[in-house]
Amino acid sequence: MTPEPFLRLRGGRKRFGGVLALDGVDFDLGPGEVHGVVGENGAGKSTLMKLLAGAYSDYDGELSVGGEPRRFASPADAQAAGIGMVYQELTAFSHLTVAENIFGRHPPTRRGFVSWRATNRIAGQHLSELGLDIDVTSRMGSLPVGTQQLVEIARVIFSGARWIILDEPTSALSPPETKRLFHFMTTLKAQGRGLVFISHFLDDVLEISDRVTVLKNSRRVATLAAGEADKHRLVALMIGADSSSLNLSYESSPTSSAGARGAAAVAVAESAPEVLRVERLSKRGAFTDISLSLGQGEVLGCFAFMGAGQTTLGRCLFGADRADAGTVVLGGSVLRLTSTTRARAAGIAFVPEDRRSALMMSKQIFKNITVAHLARILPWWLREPRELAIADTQMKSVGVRPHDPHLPVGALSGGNQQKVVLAKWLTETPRVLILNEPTRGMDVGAKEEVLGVVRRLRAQGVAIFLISTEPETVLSLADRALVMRKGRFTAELAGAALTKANLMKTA
Amino acid sequence: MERDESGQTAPSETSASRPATAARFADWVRRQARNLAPLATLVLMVTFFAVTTDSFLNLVNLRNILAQVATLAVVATGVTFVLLCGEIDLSIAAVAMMTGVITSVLFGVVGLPQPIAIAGGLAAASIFGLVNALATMHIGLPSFVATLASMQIASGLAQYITRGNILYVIPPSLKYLGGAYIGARDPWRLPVVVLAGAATLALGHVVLRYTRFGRLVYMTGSNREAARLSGINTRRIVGTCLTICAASAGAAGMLNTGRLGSAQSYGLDDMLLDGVSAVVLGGTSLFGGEGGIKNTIIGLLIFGVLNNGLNQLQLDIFVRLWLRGVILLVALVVNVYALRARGAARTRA
Repeated sequence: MTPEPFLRLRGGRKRFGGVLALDGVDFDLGPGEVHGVVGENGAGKSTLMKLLAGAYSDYDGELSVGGEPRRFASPADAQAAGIGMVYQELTAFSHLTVAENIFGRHPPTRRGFVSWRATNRIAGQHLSELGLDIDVTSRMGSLPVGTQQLVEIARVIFSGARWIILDEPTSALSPPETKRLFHFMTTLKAQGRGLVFISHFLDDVLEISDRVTVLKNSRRVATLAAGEADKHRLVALMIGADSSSLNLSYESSPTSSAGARGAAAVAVAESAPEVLRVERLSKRGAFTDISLSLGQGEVLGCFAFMGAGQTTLGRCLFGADRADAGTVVLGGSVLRLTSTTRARAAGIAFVPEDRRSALMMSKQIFKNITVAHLARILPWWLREPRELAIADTQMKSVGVRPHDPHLPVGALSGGNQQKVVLAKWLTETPRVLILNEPTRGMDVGAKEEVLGVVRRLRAQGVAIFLISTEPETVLSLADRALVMRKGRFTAELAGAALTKANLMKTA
Repeated sequence: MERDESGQTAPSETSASRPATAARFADWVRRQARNLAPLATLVLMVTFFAVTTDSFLNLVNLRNILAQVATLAVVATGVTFVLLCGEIDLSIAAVAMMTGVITSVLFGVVGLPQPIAIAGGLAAASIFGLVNALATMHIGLPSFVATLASMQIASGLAQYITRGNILYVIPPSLKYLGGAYIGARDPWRLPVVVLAGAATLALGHVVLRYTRFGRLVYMTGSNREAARLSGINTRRIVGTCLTICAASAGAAGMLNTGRLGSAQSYGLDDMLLDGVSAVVLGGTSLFGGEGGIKNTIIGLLIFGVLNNGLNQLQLDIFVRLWLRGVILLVALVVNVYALRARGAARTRA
């Protein structure tokens, strides 16, 4: 044991060009501790974690590991000092086995050749020491996301990590998977390892962390012991003084608002003409016998945990994947969804769960906004002023910041990228809008703005099918909600029954 | 997804307060990195050959360079479309030879009038493009494999038709396009084939930069899934590009028969490597979405200057062959590094 077994940063300051991304931040992590880090997008969470993990060498401040001042030249340097990093986007080799992933570049050898027997044996031993029961010969890509994450953590521990930084580890996990992860983290704590837990999910942070640090505008505003922190307080610290208006849709009691929503839902169901009807839609390996009806100006929620088949359902409704059986009726006539072009022509719009499959990141914002409409807004040749005028209107209406249609979309923050994805579908108001995870991974402010856009579209009479794994998103938007579990609808909730508890219970 | 979350986006979020012109200027510089590296390579080569040889830098020789890359320019235009989609066409040289042969047979053996023979040749080339498109976009073969097969078929057909013979009766209009000159005296006697090449490049540029279709080519090449999820018929876009490429290869093949005054089933094997490397040398990405005809023009000039300059140096022919390969490699490496720097600049922004 070193005399001072801490990972500690004093006065961490990091500048990108003229902008301070981290402004004098103190941070420490003790053995057997889970230290949560929360903050809005752009608050400095990623910069802090990258600094700890050795991604930068040009920063001010002092970093010490076990009492010894260090300045890492590279992530490899940090790794050698026992700091491991697990990224939100899994970086595993999905074609290789669990054992190969654990060993990485240095599998055990016998006379210069890889010894598979030793690879599997040692990897298996390592996992069981960590209390994990995973077949080391299975291919990484065939495992559920949650399990891959556990393997990733086991991998950085295997390579010697004592201090482990977890970036949004729960965002892709279902509650049981999250539970498993937390159980694993508790085991690691007991072994005297320190964990940094960076997340947007305040409930998760509060559940597992011993201390929570709140960052805001590149500064540390508070470090609280778990006992003195609650969700409300964290939100207040994250967004500053006036939090009551911003988090209304998250904090308001579900029953009271659901009552009002229930009345509205009944009204919609009775008066609004049906726009989309799906009858017994099935796709092998994804979903079975899906039927639903969606009215004009209605938001129909579809709540499910990760991997319940909801993503494929959304894609099938846009023609991006093809269902094996069933019918889709749009505005009274049967629609053969054989291609996205057809769905698009019928007035269906689609926002996929992953912004990278919705945007051309290296292309300018205005091109991304007009790309779905070129045939309708332009003759066969291009007229950039017309495109810019359209993009300008749409960017204003969703509030893209900075307001510069010539910037490549990739230069925007995640929340603003998502606004561009929505702006893309506003040029011609669609009849049906399919949203998959429209607000995932966004900070509170951007989330509210995106929700506002969706509400406005509902007011314009767009029929909206909202798929989400976040109960809050469904609750704050949907008039009714279908709950999907393992490819089937298990419940339809409306009115007073539409509560977080009911969503979680039936999914 | 949160990679772009805090540290890296912090600057761009505050750039709302920064003048937008500054951001736009930075953006412009980054965009130009793709063009500046090839341009620098070109200037470097011209300077080198101008200094080391007496015969390089004069109008007649510069005109000769243009004439030497003119046929290549026609096929490179098509290759640009395909690379912008993130695909490749390995059948271009074979399709070019086959088209030359078919056109000559239709004209000289079957006895069809010129325009019909030429149209028939282009149709044959386009059919190969359609087959490539079908195999790639509908059946799902990688274009690398699909066009490798068409390469075999096209070159085999050319040999089957000619039985190894050379066809000397070719349409006079092709002889004119490929071999005639306009203008009275040197240096101003301009080969018609240069105009044909320039016209093809210009047409390609207009289509790519000023039409809806061109925009969709760039958007599809940049992110095909995103294009598809925007309701774009990406199969049709990529398929059209493969067809355009095959047709341009056919046109190049016909020009080549016109230049030589004969059609045969061999002798154009360099066209594949030359055509693709000229486009890539210009800075068009092999992965799609970035580049264009302007880049291809620079690439063609680099290519022409290199070939011509090495000849002027009066090196041993056997040295020239491998040396050319080495220099091409170096130029490509420089390109890739320039692009990487650009990528890094963008991530920092």
